[in-house]
Amino acid sequence: MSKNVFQRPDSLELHMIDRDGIPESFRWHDHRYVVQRIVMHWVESGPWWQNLSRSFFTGEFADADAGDVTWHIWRVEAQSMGGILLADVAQRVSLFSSSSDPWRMIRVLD
Amino acid sequence: MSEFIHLHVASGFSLRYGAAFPERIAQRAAELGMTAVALTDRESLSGAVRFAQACVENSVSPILGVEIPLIQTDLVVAAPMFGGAVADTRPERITVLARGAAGMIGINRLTSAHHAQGVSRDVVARVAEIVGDVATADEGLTVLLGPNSDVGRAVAQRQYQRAHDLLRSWRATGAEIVCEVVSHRSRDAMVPATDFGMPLSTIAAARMWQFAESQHAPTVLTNAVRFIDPQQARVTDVLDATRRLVPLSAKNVDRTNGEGFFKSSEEMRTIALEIAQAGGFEKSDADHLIAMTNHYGRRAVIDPQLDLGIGSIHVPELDVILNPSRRIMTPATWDRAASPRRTAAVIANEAAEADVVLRQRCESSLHARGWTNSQRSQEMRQRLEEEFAVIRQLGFAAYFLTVAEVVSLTREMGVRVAARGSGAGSFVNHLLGISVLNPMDHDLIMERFLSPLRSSLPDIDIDVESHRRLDVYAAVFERFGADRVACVSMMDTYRVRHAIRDVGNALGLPKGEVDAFAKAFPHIRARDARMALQELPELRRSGFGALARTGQLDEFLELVEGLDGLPRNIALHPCGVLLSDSSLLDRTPVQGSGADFPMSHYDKDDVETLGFLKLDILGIRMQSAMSFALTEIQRTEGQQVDLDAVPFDDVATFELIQSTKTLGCFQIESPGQRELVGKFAPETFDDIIIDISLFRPGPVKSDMVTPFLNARQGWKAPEFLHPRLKPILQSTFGVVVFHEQVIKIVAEMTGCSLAEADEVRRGLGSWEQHDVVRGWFYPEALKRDFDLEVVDRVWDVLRAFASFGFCKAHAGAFAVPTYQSAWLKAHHPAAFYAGVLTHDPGMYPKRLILEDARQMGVPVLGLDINRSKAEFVVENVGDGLGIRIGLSQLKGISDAEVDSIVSSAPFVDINDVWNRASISRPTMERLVLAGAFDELHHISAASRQRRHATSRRDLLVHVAELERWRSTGGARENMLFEAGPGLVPLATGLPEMDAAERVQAELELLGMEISHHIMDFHEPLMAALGVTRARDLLNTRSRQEVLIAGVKVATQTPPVRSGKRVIFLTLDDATGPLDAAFFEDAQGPFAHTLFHSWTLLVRGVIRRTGPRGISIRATGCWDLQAVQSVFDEACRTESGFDVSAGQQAVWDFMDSVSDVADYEDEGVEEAAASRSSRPVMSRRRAGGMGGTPGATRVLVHPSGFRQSPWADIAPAGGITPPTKLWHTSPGSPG
Repeated sequence: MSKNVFQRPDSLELHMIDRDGIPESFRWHDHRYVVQRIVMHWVESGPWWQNLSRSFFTGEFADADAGDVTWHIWRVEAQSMGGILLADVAQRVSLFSSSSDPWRMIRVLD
Repeated sequence: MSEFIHLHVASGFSLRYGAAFPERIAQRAAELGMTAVALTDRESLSGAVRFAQACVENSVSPILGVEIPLIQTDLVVAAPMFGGAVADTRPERITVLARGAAGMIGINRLTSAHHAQGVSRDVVARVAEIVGDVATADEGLTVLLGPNSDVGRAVAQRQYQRAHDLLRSWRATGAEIVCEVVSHRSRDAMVPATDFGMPLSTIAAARMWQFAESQHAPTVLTNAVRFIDPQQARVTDVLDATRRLVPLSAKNVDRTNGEGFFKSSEEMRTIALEIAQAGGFEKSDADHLIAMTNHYGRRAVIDPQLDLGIGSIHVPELDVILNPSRRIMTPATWDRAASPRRTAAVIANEAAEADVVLRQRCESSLHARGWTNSQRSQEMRQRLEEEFAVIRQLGFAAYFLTVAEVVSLTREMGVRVAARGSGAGSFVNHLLGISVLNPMDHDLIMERFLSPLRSSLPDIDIDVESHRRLDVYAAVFERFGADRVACVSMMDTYRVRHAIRDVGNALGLPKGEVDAFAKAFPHIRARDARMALQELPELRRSGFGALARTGQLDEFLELVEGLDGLPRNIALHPCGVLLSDSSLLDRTPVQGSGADFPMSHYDKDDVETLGFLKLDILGIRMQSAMSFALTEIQRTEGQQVDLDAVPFDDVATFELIQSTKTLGCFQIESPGQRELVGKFAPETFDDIIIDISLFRPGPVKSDMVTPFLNARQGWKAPEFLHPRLKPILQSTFGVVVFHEQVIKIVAEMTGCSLAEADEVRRGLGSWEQHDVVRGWFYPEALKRDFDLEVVDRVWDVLRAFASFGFCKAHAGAFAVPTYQSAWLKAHHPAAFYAGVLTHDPGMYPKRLILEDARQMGVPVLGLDINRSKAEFVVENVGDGLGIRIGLSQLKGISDAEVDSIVSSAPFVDINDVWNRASISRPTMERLVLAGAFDELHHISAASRQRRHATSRRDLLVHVAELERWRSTGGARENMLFEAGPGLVPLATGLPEMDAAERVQAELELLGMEISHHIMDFHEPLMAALGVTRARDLLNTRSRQEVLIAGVKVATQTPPVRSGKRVIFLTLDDATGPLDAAFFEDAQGPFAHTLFHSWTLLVRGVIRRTGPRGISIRATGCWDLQAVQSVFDEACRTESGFDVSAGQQAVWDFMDSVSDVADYEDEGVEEAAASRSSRPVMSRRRAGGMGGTPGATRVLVHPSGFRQSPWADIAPAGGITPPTKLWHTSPGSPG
């Protein structure tokens, strides 16, 4: 079983310590988790065209960054005092700017 | 860090799939320190040559391969709305790499096989067959079975037994079989497995690797690259949607992220480690995977010279040239041609034999022309020997014999043929009958064409009648065989309009808006779209310009710019045919073209690089027009004219040219040329050569025209730079016009040979070589007693000349049809116009040519069901000759209907036509409306005055009744009027069409007006405004302000010396053409009107440039229909018709209206503010199109697309063109 928590991204920002973009440790539910193992890493892009099509058609100003939705997602096995957690953590990266977004917890796997 | 070699890389030549240019791939590999890189395009090797060349430039070893689909027939979907185009349905694919020359033969054949046999072949069997044919111990094919292969997809679906069986069948082919693992880190963990799985996920890659290990199959890692940088990822999404003919959506794009870019070796090692981790392998296994990849990469490195064939020369074998019995290969056998290779000794023997044959043929020609016993014959023989020596040294005799054979073949078919290009400078070409011009009569030199210092094949272009071009192609294929001939292809690449349309369609935007946006641009590069929106006044002031300023188009334009220059489609080159020996199909892949001729994947530059004999067989409409004219002369006058034998000194011909009445004549009909011949007044054939050479972008830009004309007219003394150069420059009054003059100047001043001087001339075309040439030229010239001052002046001329000037031989070849067309116009005008109107060779619309015919006293006869033929034909009219409009001109008429009418004529009445000719009702109605039955039923403009006369409307009713009679099987009870076989159409009382209605019908159905000129309807207005007519222009003074008016026939934006855009407008006012130039100061407020109106009123200032030279600098223009409306409205006063009131209203209108786009910003802002997807209503300022006081409503879409709320209703009163009836150069929008 897994619990998808991606629908509420605002509340799921993570305080993450990373090295060169690779997660090392983070705080989750008042526990500090240390990443023991990277199980998997993948990258996703969103349907950028939806935003662009809409903006062109309705006359709304396009938000270049909103269409630029590329996420690096890491499935990690992390350990804390309370036990082991298998989770997907993610960070959005921009192709067009160097600023980095906060890390987010997007899924906890039992 | 260890190196990584990319073995799977698609470029833009994988049509609408890859986003990288081959050159950039090679460059990127070098930047990343890679020593080799592959290009593996989808079903294409079109990018191979430029890729190999770029690799050499970047010191990277090229690897070539091709991606071939394993298409299942039931997966192919043809889309009817896209003309039956086959949409991509993600078939299984393999990647095949070439190892050595045998491997190149293999992938050429495999690619040809794919295109020749389409979807019904077995790729496995074909690979086995090819490997059996060509593979050696070291050379052959390496097949990569990746995630999209049949094996890869079976593994992804965990069908391991099936994967095992498939792999075994691949191994049985004898090719080197390698499993390919690819990870784009796709979202395998997030998405449920589909039938195909997620083939680019890390897990899938690991699974493939595990499978390969279990089968003891070698494995390589690739990144299946589609673009160089991640930023290009969105462009590939647009390409995916375009390729699949669908709007963008998650299911229609191939990528899930931007990982398919050209990664560095370090990044690829990270990928290898991730896959190893996911598959339970060790880190050392990841390193081994990369080592294996590099191993197979190095095995597949090709040598561009030895393997690809760059730098080699291949012409047909001598026995094929001399032996006309060649077989034809069918398309199904393109890829199966046997190719016995000739040894070097055989080739050398053939070359020697070809030299002998060439000499014999030239000697025979000398004898046949009687050029053997005269003073001049010694010069000729010496020239011939010089040319023979060069041809023998280069081994090109077979080349000349091949071209001569093609020309001879064409003449035997009765097709007019003429050589063009520098080949006209060769005496051998003249003696072989390839070129009509004798180079010794016109001071043409061979070295410009053929030089011992250049080993590449020279270029001979052949002009043939355009409508017979494909017949000539077929004859060449039949003569030499499809194993030695292929057409050259060309890549249709993205420019701004296609890019906008494809991006718009991918985003699902309304087609109307997208089309309007695309058409707003001139034909420019896609990457220049943003700049054009900022700089071109007609765009800047449009709604799209307003949107661009707000930044709303930024992302859209970014995608448009991203498509710039990417190939869209492969197409048949309009003229290139390549001929080779029997190894042709081993050295180029071919595929079918729309015209059913096999077409090489290589373009014109590539085939030259690869040493094929490329023959440009150009279809020239003027040749067709002249041929048609000659046929008409023979038919109507009984005179057989040999146009090629007409002497070049006919007085009437030169008088016609000097009169500037050259519409329809080859090369000298444009506004600029008419002005130039007016100033120049050519008197000899060599004058025509100079005229054509002067009217090129280079001479115009470098202002060579003015000093030439000054000296020619005797206004200034010619300057010859130095007395020793006078013989070279005398014919052009001291101005350097020709390449040949540069060559001779360099040879005279330095003492080098003409061949060496031509190399110097070529060097002058490159800025980088200027210093080298200068460093050699100065000391050599000074040594030969030229003063430093003279050397300086000559050097300045030579340097400035670099990119200008023209090849005299080329101009000479052009001058022949120029003179011949002018001769026909001078002596047989009716036949000339019939030819020109039938084959439409020039830039102007037919309606202008018809008007010119009237001006030249040739009557124009309307469409007639009994007299008209398919084409325009000459007809006796009283004691003269007129032109009868052809049936093919009628809108919507089919060839079968035309044939039926022509073969069944004459007819006694409309019933007879209905009964005997197989014509549809719509065509019958259009024939009625176009006046085809007027003579048969005695309908004329005067019929309108007679109450009981039959009218065209009566005939329309009659056609309807005939149709009803036929559909009811002859029952008459339901018919309004009596109609049927044998019954005469009744005069029902319906009025005859008035003059305006007739002209409207003619424009709509024939594209030209016959009964009246459009401007006839504006006569009162023009008289009231004092508009100057074309016939009166010669009576105007310099700097006089005039108003001119007319129907737009052309807008052009040629390059001019200032580097600014000048729009040249040509109007037709029923008394002749009028030309006006709009400089930048006049474009801002008037460009929109200029480009988008059909009839125009133009204000300008006269400038006299010679006895017959007149130019008009425009200072404003207005839509003539709008002006007419203002005039008509104002003239109608309570006291009657008041012309002065109309005049005043027009002056006021012209003062108030500087542009029709005043409302746009406001309209767009309103639309944007509404946040609505629907258009909002905006108000146009008074004095718009209708000029009516008050406001006019206009629908403005949020994108700025404008639409009249009454768009489906034709505006009342004026006559509008049913379609575009004027010429626009590529620089014009619309």
